[in-house]
Amino acid sequence: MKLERAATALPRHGWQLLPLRFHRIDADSVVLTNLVGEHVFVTPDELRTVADGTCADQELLARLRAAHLVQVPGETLPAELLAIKLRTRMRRLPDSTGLHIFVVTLRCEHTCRYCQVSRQSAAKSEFDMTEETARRALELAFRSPSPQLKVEFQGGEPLLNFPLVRWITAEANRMNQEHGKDLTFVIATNLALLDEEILGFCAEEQIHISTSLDGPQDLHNGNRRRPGRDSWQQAVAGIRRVQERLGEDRVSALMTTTEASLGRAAEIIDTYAGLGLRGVFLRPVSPYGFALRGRGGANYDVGRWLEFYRAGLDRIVELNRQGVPMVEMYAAIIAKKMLTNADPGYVDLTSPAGIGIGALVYNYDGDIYASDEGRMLAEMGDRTFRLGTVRDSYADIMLSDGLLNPLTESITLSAPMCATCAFEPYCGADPVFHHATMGDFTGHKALSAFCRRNMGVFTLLLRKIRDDPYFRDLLWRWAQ
Amino acid sequence: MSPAGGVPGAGAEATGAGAIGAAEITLAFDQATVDLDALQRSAYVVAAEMTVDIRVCGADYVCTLFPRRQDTRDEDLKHRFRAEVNDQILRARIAKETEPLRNLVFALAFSQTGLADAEGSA
Amino acid sequence: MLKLMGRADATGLAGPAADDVWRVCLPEDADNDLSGADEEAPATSVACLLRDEQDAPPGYGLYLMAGHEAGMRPGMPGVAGSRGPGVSGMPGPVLRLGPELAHLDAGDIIHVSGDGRRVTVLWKNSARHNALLLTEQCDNYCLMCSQPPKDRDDAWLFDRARKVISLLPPGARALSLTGGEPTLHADALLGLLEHCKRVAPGLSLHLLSNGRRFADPQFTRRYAAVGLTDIMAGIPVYAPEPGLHDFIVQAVGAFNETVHGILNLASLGQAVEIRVVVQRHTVPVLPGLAAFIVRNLPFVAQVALMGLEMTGLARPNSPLVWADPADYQGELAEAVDILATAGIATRIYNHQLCVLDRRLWPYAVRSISDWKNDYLDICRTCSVRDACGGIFTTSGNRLSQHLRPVP
Repeated sequence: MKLERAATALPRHGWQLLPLRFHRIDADSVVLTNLVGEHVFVTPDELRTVADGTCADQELLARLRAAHLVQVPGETLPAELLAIKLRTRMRRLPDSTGLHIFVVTLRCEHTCRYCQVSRQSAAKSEFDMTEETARRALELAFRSPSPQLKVEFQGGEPLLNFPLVRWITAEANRMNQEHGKDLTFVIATNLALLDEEILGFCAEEQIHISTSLDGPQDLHNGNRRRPGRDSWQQAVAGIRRVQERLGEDRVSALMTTTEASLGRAAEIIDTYAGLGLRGVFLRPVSPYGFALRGRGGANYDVGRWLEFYRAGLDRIVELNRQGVPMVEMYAAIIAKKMLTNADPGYVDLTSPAGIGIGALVYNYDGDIYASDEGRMLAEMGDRTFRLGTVRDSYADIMLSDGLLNPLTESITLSAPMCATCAFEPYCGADPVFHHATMGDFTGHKALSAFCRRNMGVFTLLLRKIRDDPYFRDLLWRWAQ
Repeated sequence: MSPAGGVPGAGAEATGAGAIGAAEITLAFDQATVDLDALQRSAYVVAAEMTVDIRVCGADYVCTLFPRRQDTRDEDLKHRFRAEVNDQILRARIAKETEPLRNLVFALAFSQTGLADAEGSA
Repeated sequence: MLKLMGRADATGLAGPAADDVWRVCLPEDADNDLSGADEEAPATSVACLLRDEQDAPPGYGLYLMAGHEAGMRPGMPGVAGSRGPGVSGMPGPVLRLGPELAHLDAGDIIHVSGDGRRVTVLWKNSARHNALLLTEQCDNYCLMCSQPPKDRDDAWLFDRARKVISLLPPGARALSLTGGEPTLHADALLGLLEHCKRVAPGLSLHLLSNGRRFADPQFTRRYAAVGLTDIMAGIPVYAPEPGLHDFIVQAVGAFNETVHGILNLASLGQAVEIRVVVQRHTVPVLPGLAAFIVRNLPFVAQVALMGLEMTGLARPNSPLVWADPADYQGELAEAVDILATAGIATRIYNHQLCVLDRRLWPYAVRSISDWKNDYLDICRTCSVRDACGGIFTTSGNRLSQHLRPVP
């Protein structure tokens, strides 16, 4: 044998660091991440010896080389591979605006406690989108470079303006004959108004249904009031109807987390499981929580929410062990960012932020907003994220200061604390939240509920990856 | 690399000017081993737990720590701040050492995207 | 197991029959195989296989007689391979084949040695896998190498390969090109590939290489420019970082060149297979290597996890490289799971089913070549014998302790 094992070992000071960031997740555990978010667990002492060149643990050094955290001076392959991975992660950046939200009406027969937007059955003309507005909005939507377009109908309750939903679908399909995009449709509805006509339409046009299911009956109905006090029953019946008629994969549900949800995570999961809903999204905050500046914003009890999240995740893992293949969607999105080079395309956790370039909101009155939360802010008097109207040109909208300023100011790669954060590749920018709670697009991350919440989730997931092989395998599956 | 103020009771605590009632919580750092940037970054990071006043005193930076909550122990606060300063110093050193490679990776990554070409850059 | 080398009896055989490559044909196919050839102008490179005193149609360059003991039969004057027609009533030179070559059949391609006494089967038409050795030179020196490098001029191997490819029967589907390291002879290799494209465009090619030469972008461009549409480079990667890989292949710098080569091939749209020999050193890093491949080389056409063949350098290095398959099923299953979940085609070669975790059976390929596989006596009662590739005859006594028939 001409080459001994020792010949390829790394001597003291025999390696150089590649760009790396670290975070101390426990007293005796540090996670190192490379430029694209690949991670290695080390002890505090190992961090010290790797950084100062005295580490003698060849097995650790080998793992760090494989993860592109250290290299031998003069090597070029690690930088090349990192560049390829980085480019892959950013591959979808030029494909701006995949999600187009059409607020076809503000009218709604529910009065959900957390909703700031809907209007009670007023005259249709006042709060419904017109065909002309919809047409102009579609024209703008098709200006997007993205090869995929998702048209999502929201409200109020979009089914209250079903004729327009029908019209927009037909018109979009017609316009798409020229563009050839991968066009999909979603209706975000409370399902109370589902009837055979609507079901048939959804079947024919392959519409996906997204509905609200906050959890067990008392929890759901406590949050979401409607005449008859049967929101949950309607939702459940609607879900079952859609599953039967259109297939299980055509309906998904989202929960809204409120004070009342905390402490009941397992029950909420079980409700979903009982309905054959495979994906649960343990959503970060109630959509309007951040808007309660000083009340629910920065002071939103992140610690209690994290406990809720942990309990929900545990319950889902337990169900998986029992053979029920449920997925926690937030963890799955983060897993994709942690464990692969793919982009999950989730507009609320991405940098640059998803405002405008990930999603655009066309309000019933023709105003265009950079995000749904931006629209809700406007309802409360703050029109910072109103980009213009459907009468403006595509360039006016997308190149406006109203869009570019929050985008550039909130980019994590240059934000204080984010720039040096080990979890930056997993995280995102949220200029709307930080503007609403702190008054600037970047936000002071040490005081930010957004940051604290996400850091909590990242460390929770990493600890489980480190300590629980079953969970590690499960997360690997969720990441694909 | 540790700040000179790292050892408790090493006489590194300066009495803050204008002390009011109870003694202030202060740490002194030798300017020769700790730079201002590290201190400022650390103050930013711990903002949820304390606010920090930094001033020059001779060859030292003197940091006065003001806890946000009443029930924090002085020693815990000091440990927290010192540990953060050490980490910031380490981060700065790593960033400086790896800056050329970081620039190289970004240059390689962006040299082939259509975006860079479209901008008309080299 | 088929024997690929055999004795022949060809007293006085010389000239075109000797030291040459022949395709074996049967008399009944004379119309197809001989276009216009006759005794005056016999077809070169086409040999007629006669069994049990069949009549010999004229026009072949060589006649093979099977079903006899090698050696002179008493009473038959001038029985073997003299030149020219008319001798013993044979229309051309004759070779009598030893019994180990009784398996020869139409479409097989053989090489006849200079003295006519040795016949090597280069292409076995009925075999699942065929490989052509292009060189024994190599710039790696893997601890477990089954084809130890020899540093001598063997350019004639390329010439021989060229002839074989020219003679391939119409139904030929797939061919492996092996070594040594074929890319060490860039011009000869590229020439051979161009030859394949011209005369056998439908052939599915598998080029076994350590990949290092492909780090040269110019070489890779030339390789891609040949324009073969069905060629895959099978390239071993033994670890996710240079320290262990370079040690296993006994060459500093090999990992970086190999992976650079893989990237260059991918950037030109060339198919790459990553091959991993499972041995004592690679077992602990198997899951880490799988994760590395998914994260860094996700474009590969497939990953092949190979069982160890205890021949060549693997024998003297046995204490270094031997690992009983029964002991590494955990790591193997974890690696397969990582790859398969990520959607990368994964195959397990050269593992007996009885020592392979059942969950991994769907990934197992019956892969040991027909000419070097065999079964133990205990395999007679095994219920999955036919699906199993058996053992390497070359592995001799170094086999798993845990082989047993599957009930």
